[in-house]
Order: sequence, then C-alpha cells, then structure tokens
Amino acid sequence: MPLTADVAAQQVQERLRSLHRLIYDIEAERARNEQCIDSILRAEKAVESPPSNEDSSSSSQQQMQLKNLYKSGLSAAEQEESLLRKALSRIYEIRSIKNERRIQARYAGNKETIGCGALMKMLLSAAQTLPLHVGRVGERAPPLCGAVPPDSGHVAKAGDAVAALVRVSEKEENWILAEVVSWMPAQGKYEVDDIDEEQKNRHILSKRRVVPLPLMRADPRVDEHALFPKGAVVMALYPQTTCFYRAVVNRLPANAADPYEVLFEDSSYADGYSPPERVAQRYVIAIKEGKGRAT
Amino acid sequence: MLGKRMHHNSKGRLASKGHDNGKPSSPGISPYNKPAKIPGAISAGKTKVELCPIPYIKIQDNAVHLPRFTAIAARSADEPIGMDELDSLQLELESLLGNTALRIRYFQAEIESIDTNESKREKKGKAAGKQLQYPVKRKFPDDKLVKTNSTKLSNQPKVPKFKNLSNASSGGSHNYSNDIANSDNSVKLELSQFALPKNNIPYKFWSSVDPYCAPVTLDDIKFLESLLAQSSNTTLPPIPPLGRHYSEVWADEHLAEDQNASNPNKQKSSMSPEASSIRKKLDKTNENMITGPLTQRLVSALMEENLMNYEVPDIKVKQTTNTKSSYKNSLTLEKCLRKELVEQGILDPEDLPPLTNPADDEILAEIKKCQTELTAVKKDNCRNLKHLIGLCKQEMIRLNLKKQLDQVDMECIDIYKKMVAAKQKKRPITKKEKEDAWRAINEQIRLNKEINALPITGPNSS
Repeated sequence: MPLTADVAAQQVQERLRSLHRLIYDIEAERARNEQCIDSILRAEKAVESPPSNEDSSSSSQQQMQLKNLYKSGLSAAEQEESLLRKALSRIYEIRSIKNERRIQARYAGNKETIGCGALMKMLLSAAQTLPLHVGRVGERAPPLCGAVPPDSGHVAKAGDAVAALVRVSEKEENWILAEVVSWMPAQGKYEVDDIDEEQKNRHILSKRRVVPLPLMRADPRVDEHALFPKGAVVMALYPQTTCFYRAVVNRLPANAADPYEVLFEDSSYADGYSPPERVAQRYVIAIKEGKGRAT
Repeated sequence: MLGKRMHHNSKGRLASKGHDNGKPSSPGISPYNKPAKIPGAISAGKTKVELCPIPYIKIQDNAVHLPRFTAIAARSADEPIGMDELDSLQLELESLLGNTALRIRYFQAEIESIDTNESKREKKGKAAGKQLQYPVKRKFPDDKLVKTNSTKLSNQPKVPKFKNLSNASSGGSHNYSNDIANSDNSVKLELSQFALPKNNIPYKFWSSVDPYCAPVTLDDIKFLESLLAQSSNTTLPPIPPLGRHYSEVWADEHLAEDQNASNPNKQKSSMSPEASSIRKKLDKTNENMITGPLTQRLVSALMEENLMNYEVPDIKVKQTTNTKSSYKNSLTLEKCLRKELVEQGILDPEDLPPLTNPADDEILAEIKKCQTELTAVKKDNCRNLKHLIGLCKQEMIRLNLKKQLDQVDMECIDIYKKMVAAKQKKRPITKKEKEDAWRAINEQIRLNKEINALPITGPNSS
C-alpha cells in the first residue's frame, strides 16, 4: 500500500496527539512515583536510625513495612515504565513512517541530494535517535541491539543501514556505510546504496559482504551484556568518514546517549593505534574475520 | 591506514569538507562534546546534596534534566508537539525509561534482600542454641573477631548498608551516572562479601599450632607442678559398705507405690516404714534364709525326713523371732556346720570352697580392680609429670643459654660489620677491637658447647 504524503502526515499527527496525552499521563505518574519514593526514603531512614537492632521483633516489623513500601514503589515504577514505553513507541512509529516516506520518495526517483556536512549531521542524529532498548528484568537484549549479533536467518530490510564490503579500486576493498535497497533471495545478494550520495554507486553484494548495523541501542546501565567489552576488536565508523575500520574498544558508553571510545588501528602512530575516538553505538559492529581486512 | 583514508579523502569519501571550510554548521571536532545533548549525564549537584540510592529524576529538577518534556507537559493539548522537538523528547523519555528500569531493579533487589534476611533470621533462631554450645577449646582473638563480624553482617538489615556504602564511595562526586555506577559497585561488593568469606584458615591453623612450638615459660612449669600436687594429693574414694539388695529396695518401692495409689493423700516421695515392715512380713513366709551349701543340704535332708533331732530347730526359732539377724545367723550356722564336719573328719578343709562374705560380690571385685588400675595410672601420671617438669627446667636453662647466644651472635655480626667497614675505609683495626672480637667468638663457642652438652629435650633443641 503506497504511503501517500497526506496519509503519512495524518498518521504522524495522530501519533503526536497520542504522545502528548501520554506525556500528561507520565507527568502525573511521576508525581505518584515521587510520593512513593519519599515515603520509602523516610522508612529507610527510620530503619537506619535506631541505635540497636537487637529488638528483632520491631525491626522485622519495620522490614515488613519497608517491603510493602518497596512493593508499592515497584508497581508505581512499572506503571510509569509502561507509559514511557508507550510514549517512546509513538516516537519510533513516527520515525518509521518518515523513513517509509523517504524510501518511497527515493523509489520515485526524486532523491534529495545532501551535502557532506549535512550527511554527517544526519548520520549523527540517526545514531542518537536510534531506538533505545531498555530490557525488562530478566530479559535478554534482542538481536541487533547493541553488540548482539543478528539471527542467522536475518535479512536486512530496505532502508536498513549496513556496512558493506565493496571494491573501491583494482586491489582494494573497503567496508563502507550503505543502505539496503533490496534483497534478492534468488541470488542471496543485497542491492545496496552507498550512503554517500556523491558516490552514486549501487552495489550488488553477497550476504557475506553485508553486515547490518544495530537497530537498537543498549542502555549500559541496564543491558551492559549487550555492549562490546573493553578490549574487543570491532569495526567502527571513522569519525567524519563513511568507512568502517578495525578498532579496539577503549571505553564503554557510560549511559544510553554516550558513544564508545575506540582506538583505531593505525600504523602511522607509534603504538599502532590512533588516539581515542568517540563512535556511537550504531556505528560499532562486530568484526568479520578475514573479510574486514582491506588488501 | 591513514594513507587509505587520505586516499578516500581525495575521492570524496572523507566527508570533511565542512571541516576544511571551517563552516560552523558542520559537526565540529567531536560532536559528542556537548554535555547538554547527553541527558543521562546529569551534572546538577545543587539539588542533590543528599545522594539518593533510588534512581529517579525529581520533579523539581524537571527544568534542569527534562526541559523539552516539561515544556510539552505544561502546554495545552491544542498546541501540538513539533517534529523538531521529537529528537530531544525521545532522549529525555529514554533517560526517564532507563531510570525507571533501574528503579524497578532496585526495588526488586531490596524486596529480595528483605526476604532472604527474613529466612536467614529464622534459620539463625533455630541454630542459635547450637552455636552457643559449640565448644571452643582455644580462643584466638582473630577467631572471635570473625565471629562477631559475621553475626553483624547477618543481623544488620541490608538496606542501610547498601546506602552507607554508596554514600561513602561516591563521596564528593555528584555526577549522576557515577552515582549509579557506584551503587552498582556497592551491590557487587556486598555480593562478593557474602559469597567469599575471608579465608582465615591458615591463620587459624598457625595460631592453633603455635602453643605447641612456643618456648617453655615459667608459667608452664608452675602449671605442671600444680598438676603434680593435685594428682599426688588425691586419694581414692573409699568403698561404701554394702547396702540393701536391689530386689528389697524395689519391692519396698512397689509396695509404697501401691499404697500411694490406694491412698492419694499420702505424699509419694516418703517411703513409709510400714511398707518395709509389710514386705518383711510377706517375706518371712517364703524367704529362704539358708545361705551356705552345707546348710542347704542339711535342711533339705531334714525336710525330706521330717526329722527335727538336731539343733536346727533352735536356730529356726531364732530365725523366726529375729528376722533382722537371720542373715548373720545363717552364716554362723554354715560356719558351725563346716567346723563340725571338718572336726568329725567327714570333710577335708581343702575340698571346701573358701567361705565367702556376702559383701564380696563381683561388684566389689570390679571396684577393687578399678582402684588398682587408677592407682597405677596415678603413679604413672605422677612419674610423667615429674619427668616433664625436669625436662622443662632443663629447657629453661637451654633457653637462657640460647638467649645469651643470640646476643653474642648479634655482637659478632656487629663486630664483623665494623671490621668490614674498617677494611673498606682502610682504617687499621685497633687492638681493643680485636680483643672484643675474640672475646665474642670465644663466648659464642663456649655457649654453643654448653648447649650441645645439654640432653635433647623439646622442639627448641635444634
């Protein structure tokens, strides 16, 4: 079903209104949460303050009271969480609608050319607004969240960003940032567009030469296991370029919006590594051994 | 590598045009250096003087941490959210979500810790009695310390501990993300404390071995001497005289019980004299007063023939009249019979079994046996103690000598050092120094000889 501009605008407006309502709800829910937290903090102090905890009966009573408060705090927090998730899903929906429109516009042939500076800005904002995965308790991060690899049968959709190993000259291959145009199941090949419009190159590459970028960011405070560990060898987008190079993770992101700090392999430096560079989660991917090395 | 990048640059891959032109609109050196864009790293320290262990963003801090969200929430529904607001709103909502997710984990962990505390306390209550009775032969200071520590750990509710730790560790830093990391660390720390109790087994072992290897002191000798005095002074307890036979005692008790049962007013504990008298009356009819084998033979012979020609009737009369002395009488009868038979030449005194005292039963024999054993052990103990005291005294002498030798050794080393220093400085060694050295060495030799001359005693004999 073609998504016309009118329909898309209507859908976006609808979601924006829903989002606004949700924000009111969230604000109310936060007030309720704060009340809960206040009473918990007071109760915690009360438990802390008695000089002797030998009177086990009263202290255990206090503990039970505290436990009940925690439980109510927990349910309030869960309520707030579900509202926040809903609000965020509205935003993600809006983004996917806009993306859909963009892809359709490109098929239609009217490709807006953007300058280099604008491209860099766009890449950065795409990395920052990549949906955040905040796992529920006991939930593992899904595939393509942070460092989690895709399922074996995963096929990148049209419009998905990928790293693609393309031949740039007679004997040189490079991992470039590209966007999937289509997947050709018969040949098992992707048709990808170089993200850099100036290249105007369309590549047809086998699946082995295409690595999908993460579809979600991982929150380091919640899903640290979904991030590359310090010292891991990865491929990272070199800042101000659209190429991926081998790098070593130097520091993990401190929070969800924080980038990685990586050291690029660079023989022009004495120790073989560049000074620390900051690369967003979206542009740090697992290395494909044997393929990542440019000849 | 860099060359390649340069290569791309020429091809236009390296999108640094803006940078080259110095356009301010292009992303600068590092686009991530704008702290305002990173909502998680909230650095407002003013409102957070008191660090809160629960991850949440206070509503009063809305303007600081969630400007876009606050603005939208304050707007009426007529004023829609603009598309340009979406990015920052998304980041703010995400940071809220992250906080909420952490808060849920915090609450769940706290609830769990209360639950485990509760179950632990129950277990402890059960085990407390046992633990108190646990025999501690040797009390070592570190041992006690560990015990009190562990009890403290389990007694204290986890919550304040968690807070204290996070407060202490985060100290002056007010960085929010730091705070979180710290509280996470404290959880890990706590876990590791619970999972890995301090391994003090080597210390325990060595402190338990220490008393055996420590040098002998005067106190040890005193202790041995007190032991010796104790064991040589004590005498064996005397053997009590033979009491009433248990069957009699039991029979009396039975009767008393029967009486008590029939007469509930009577106190149970008092053994009524009536009971024993009743029993004795009963006994008279069926009790066989004849004790010795000869008397038995005689009585059975008389009973068969129903003849009463001998003195026996007299004795029998005696027996019936004086029940209390019946035992003795029967004994004297046996003696009389024995004497008579031997005198008549009917029996040979060597054929007869030795006359036994009724008190001479196997229990007395056992007591006597034990007593002889005890005296033997006591003698042995005394001998060993004396030997040990002697050894200790010798060891004391040896220790004294050793102390002296150690001193002399130190002296020798000092002198040696001095001499080496003198040689290095090419200073001639004075006569006095030489004399001192010789004296020290001779003293060393003398002490060594003395020590070697002593018989080998204990662990310090080497």
